[in-house]
Amino acid sequence: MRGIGIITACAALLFAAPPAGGQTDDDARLDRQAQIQQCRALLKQSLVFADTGDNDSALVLLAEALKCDPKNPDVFFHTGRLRLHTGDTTDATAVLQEGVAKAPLSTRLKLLLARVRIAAGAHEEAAELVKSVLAVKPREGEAHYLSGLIALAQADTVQAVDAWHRALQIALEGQAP
Amino acid sequence: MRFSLKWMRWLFIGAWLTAGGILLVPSASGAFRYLQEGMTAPPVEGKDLLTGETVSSERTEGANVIIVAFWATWSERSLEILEDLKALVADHPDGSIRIFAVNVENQTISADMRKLIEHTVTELDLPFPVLIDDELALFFEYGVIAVPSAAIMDSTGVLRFAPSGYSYTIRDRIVDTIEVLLGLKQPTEAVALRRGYVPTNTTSRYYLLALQLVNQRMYERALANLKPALEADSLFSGPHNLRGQIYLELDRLPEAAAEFAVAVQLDSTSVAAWAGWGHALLRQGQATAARAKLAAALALDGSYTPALLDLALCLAQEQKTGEALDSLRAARELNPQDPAVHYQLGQVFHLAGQTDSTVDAYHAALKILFPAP
Repeated sequence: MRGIGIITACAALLFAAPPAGGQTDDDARLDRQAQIQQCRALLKQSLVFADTGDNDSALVLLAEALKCDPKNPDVFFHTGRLRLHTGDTTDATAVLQEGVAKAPLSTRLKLLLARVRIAAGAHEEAAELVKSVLAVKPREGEAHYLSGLIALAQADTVQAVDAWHRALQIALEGQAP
Repeated sequence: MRFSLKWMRWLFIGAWLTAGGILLVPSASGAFRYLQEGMTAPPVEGKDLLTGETVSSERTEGANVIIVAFWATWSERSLEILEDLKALVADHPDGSIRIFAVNVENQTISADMRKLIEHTVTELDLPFPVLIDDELALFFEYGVIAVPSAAIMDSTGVLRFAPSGYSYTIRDRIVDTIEVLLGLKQPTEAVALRRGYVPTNTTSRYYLLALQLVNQRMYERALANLKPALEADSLFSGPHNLRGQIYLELDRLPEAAAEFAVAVQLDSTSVAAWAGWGHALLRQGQATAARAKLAAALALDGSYTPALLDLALCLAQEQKTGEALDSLRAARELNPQDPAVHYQLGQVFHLAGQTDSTVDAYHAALKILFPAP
């Protein structure tokens, strides 16, 4: 029954899109827009499946979404996240690394990958990811948090406390009075 | 018998709070930063978690008492208050008491969290609706200080008692208030005191609008709405208190302190105003003066978390680390999911040179702020 649900969802979303293969630049642009919309619809539907705990169906839809928009950072993020939830760390790492390569401006992709690499003990790689985020967003609280986690893993407690203090100052400053 | 262990724990906490100069039993209550007894509380509306039926605190025909209880599965005392409210409904099956249990588990609710909440509610078999507070909108609108907290309102929606946390004492006072509202009991002095100042309708309207604007961080617009609120009713302390909170947020500390002072002058039982005044003074480096205001807030409500946090900071600055940590542990006990509590604990440990404890406390705060996706 679940398979039928996924097939129906995919078919409805795929057939809703206009036919590809435009001849002019305008047509190509419209095709591209349609694909992006289709990707968003598939992503949205996948999150509905994920919310109900049906990660397998969600991952099928995310794979379809990636075909429509192969550089969409949100699709990579949620694919990586769900792979982690299903305990597939190797696949999660590969997906997130691919995502970071294709969408290098995505902060949350980098931060999720950094978390995965910290858990795997790859502190140098994680530190590079965090550093690249902080270079662009110096007030990204989560990046300071992860920076502290890396420092702690490397037994640099002073650096860890300093990074976490900064993370907390940034995060708590932004809360309602 | 269900309360025996809890009661002992409260006795224990009470002993050291009293030893630290803080009275545990409040003579007023401060569950909500922005609301006080006598005001009309914002309506609660949403879908019942289990039935999907739309419910609203504004559609409670025939009810003499309306109760909104803020709770979470991670708070043991939340489960106790829900059990007791369930028993209360069983004692009054005529519909005179309407209850809305608002779950404030987290800002975002994952599928797993939702399942846990549903499971808990099913297990408790509650005879009243349970709503999930999406994005904690109601939590912020009410300015909830600790979990659990309850808003006890009369049939017109006016807040009559707002306890923060849950203890034997609070349970008894909730029952007293309800019995008075149901006409089963003559109001005692203590219950009568909680009626509070009732502002004019115009003032209430402007005030609640300002409150919504504050929650959307539209501070200048909120201040603009507080002006007509005060013009319509200059004796209501609420707008001064809210102005103080806004000035704190805008880092206009002397103005914040002045507003809180006026709020206290108008209503000396306003816990939020005393605590806000203390906070404004503390941020201006006036620790001794701040401590007196914070003590006044805690004398009114010993479980008012923001005052406990600031008092701890005052004590830590005076090198009284042990007392500071006691104050913070009390705050953590009341609200274990508040990252600010863990952060402050970490700061005091840091001042005391206890690195490992600093790391643990900071980590606890950060795990709440940045949970794994």
